Amino acid sequence: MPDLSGQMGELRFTLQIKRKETGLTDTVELVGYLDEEKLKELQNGSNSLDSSTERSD
Amino acid sequence: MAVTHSTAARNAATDAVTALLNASGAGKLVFRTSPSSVTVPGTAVATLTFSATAFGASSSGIATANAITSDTNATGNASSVQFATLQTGAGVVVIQCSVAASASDINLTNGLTVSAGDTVSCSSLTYTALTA
Repeated sequence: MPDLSGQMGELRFTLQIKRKETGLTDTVELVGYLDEEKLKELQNGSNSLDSSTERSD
Repeated sequence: MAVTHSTAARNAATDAVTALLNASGAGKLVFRTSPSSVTVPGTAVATLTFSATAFGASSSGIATANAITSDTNATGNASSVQFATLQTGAGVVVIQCSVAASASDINLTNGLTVSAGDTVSCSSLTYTALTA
């Protein structure tokens, strides 16, 4: 039987974390994949996801 | 061989999942440290609260979360966040994904560590069950 697979789920977040100690806010863009194969690919170091951290004081 | 889904099918799949989050009151978006599974979530670092209707209807296969209430006094942890779970108000995990500095299905270049008392907000969250 052929191995059939669709593209699996994806989550995209924008988070802000305001630090209690400093009062500064970190903004983080996240991309999450729910596909186990994609996870394995990333764990093998062929990560093609974008991510960034940005501080807005 | 990949399978391509119609837009209607993608909307139906996404809406079916997001509807589960509304099953028992406002759901939660929880960031966690410990390794976990859908049935055994790990230690919570920050817990944010979805609106009573967590997501709007899917469009082009993508559902956008309604307003999410911040966690203004995060539990925090010395270890970086490893997991995020989307769960019902009763604590049933509906969606889970990994979070790490790298080599994970959410990639944070510098890791993500939340300290006790930090305020964690989520200004944007979209979900799609099937990306094609």
